Amino acid sequence: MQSQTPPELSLLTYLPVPSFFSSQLLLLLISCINLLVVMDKVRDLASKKAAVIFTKSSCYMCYSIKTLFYELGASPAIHELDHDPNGRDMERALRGLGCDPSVPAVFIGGRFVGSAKDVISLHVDGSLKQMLKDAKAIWF
Amino acid sequence: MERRTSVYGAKDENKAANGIPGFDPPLPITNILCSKGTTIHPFPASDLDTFDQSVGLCLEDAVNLSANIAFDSANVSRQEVPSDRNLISNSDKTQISFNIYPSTDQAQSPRLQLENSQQTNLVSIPSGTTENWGESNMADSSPKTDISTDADTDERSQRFDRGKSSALVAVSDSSDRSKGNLDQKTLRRLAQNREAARKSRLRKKAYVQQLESSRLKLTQLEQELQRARQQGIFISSSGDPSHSMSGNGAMAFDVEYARWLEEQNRKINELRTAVNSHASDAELRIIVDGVMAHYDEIFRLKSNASKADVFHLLSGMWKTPAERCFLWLGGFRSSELLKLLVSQLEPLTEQQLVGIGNLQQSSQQAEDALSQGMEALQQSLAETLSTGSLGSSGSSGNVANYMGQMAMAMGKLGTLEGFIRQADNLRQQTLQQMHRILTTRQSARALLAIHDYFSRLRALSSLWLARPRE
Repeated sequence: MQSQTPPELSLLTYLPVPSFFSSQLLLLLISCINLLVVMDKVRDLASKKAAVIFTKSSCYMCYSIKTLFYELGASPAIHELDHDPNGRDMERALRGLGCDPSVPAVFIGGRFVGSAKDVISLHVDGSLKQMLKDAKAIWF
Repeated sequence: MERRTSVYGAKDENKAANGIPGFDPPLPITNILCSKGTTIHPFPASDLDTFDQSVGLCLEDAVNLSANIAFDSANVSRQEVPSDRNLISNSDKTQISFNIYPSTDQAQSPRLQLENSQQTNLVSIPSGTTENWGESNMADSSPKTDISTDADTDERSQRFDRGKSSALVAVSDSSDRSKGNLDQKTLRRLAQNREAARKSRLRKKAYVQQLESSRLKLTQLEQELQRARQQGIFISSSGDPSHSMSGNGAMAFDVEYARWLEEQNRKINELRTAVNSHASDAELRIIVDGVMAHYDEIFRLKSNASKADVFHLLSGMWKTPAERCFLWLGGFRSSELLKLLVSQLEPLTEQQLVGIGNLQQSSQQAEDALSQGMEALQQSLAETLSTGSLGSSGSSGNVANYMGQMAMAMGKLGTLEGFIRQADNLRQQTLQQMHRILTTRQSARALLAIHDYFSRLRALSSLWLARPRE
């Protein structure tokens, strides 16, 4: 369980809670809500720009994927999870989406594309470029 | 095959009259016998006493020669020869005989063929005459026992033989012998044979010594190895499955790769015959799909190996030297491969050309991206290991720093596996995309071209490794 409760959930602590709820169940409930909230946040961030990549500053594969996008002429929005207060939750949310390893996580046009492996495979068969064009991340 | 025979030196007719059936002493033979050996005695044909001596020496030489030939030409039991000599050296024995092991037909050759050491037929006489021979000769030849001071036991026993035996060389065919026929050519040949025999003896001795010393060295090394293993140092060995697993990933992968290569050669040959025999598209497709699946297999193997030992893959030691020259992130560069193929795949349709061009560009871009990521990783790793070496926060702080540094560096090293995996993924995807763009027949030719290119690189490596160096 994370050491800091996210600001959104701190309000929950003021709700009257029935005494027969055990503390563990409460925590579980909170974490589920947390996850849903964070996933929403992730999706929200992902749709803000045509190309969004969630990275970590210590991850060098992320660096490679970023470089690839720059080479293609896209300017993706980069969100570094280790510099985000909700980073851990977001990482968990990304893993919940099926991204393994959790970073780099690539979204194009708001849709989840995948991790490094998927991006490279899509790039080799030309689909990546097409997706970027469709999402107006690149024009040629 | 061995025959118990007695060797007689050449005798003159006087001795022949002592009870030995008439052997016409073929002097050239004895001359041949006499001139072979470690000591050379001149052979005045008229002097019977020295004749006896020389003949005796000849006997000794003959035994030497026989010993050599016995050793060289067949695995004849060596024990018999010394024991026979012992027999002979015992003056009480009445029967003098020792084994001569002619390698081919015995006693049939007209002369001792010393020129051919492998096929030398030693002089011998039918065994029937040996029985009573010794006794009569002993009395005659006993004063001749000590002629040379050579300490060699062989020569000693043979000297004894010589003393006892009145030499009578018996040859079955002595018709073409004329007495005293020592011409230059024969002399030279005999001398050469002597030299050759001596050299081969010395070589044999040296070889045996070498074997002994390397055996000792081997046991020493094994002991060292055992000791070092117990101390936990990993030492790779080919025949020890019970040892620690740290290097086994590398070795196992090498073995698997070798096996994969063999299978690949086989499949490619199959493909080649199919292409050359203009097989139908359906057949070709099956074979091509088989080759593509086989490529998937190597990528799977590499993925497993990268988990076990990523540095072995990165080092490229599983490839030949020339291939290693082109190494990129533990394998070949797809973009380079495509560049090589385009020229060989003509004719291509417009669409195919565009497709291949795009593929080339994509793989190039992906390679660049991965290379840059690797560079960033290397730089960061270098920075991690180089900071804090001049920390002023005291010894405990330094240790904590050090540990922290190492932990960070370890984490960074762990990402290498990811890079190798993505590089292999890129290679695999490039091959598959190429297969999709091309027709079956073009794919077949492409696969053949790829394989030929790598085989030539491997052949180049072999040539390079075998090149003569000053």
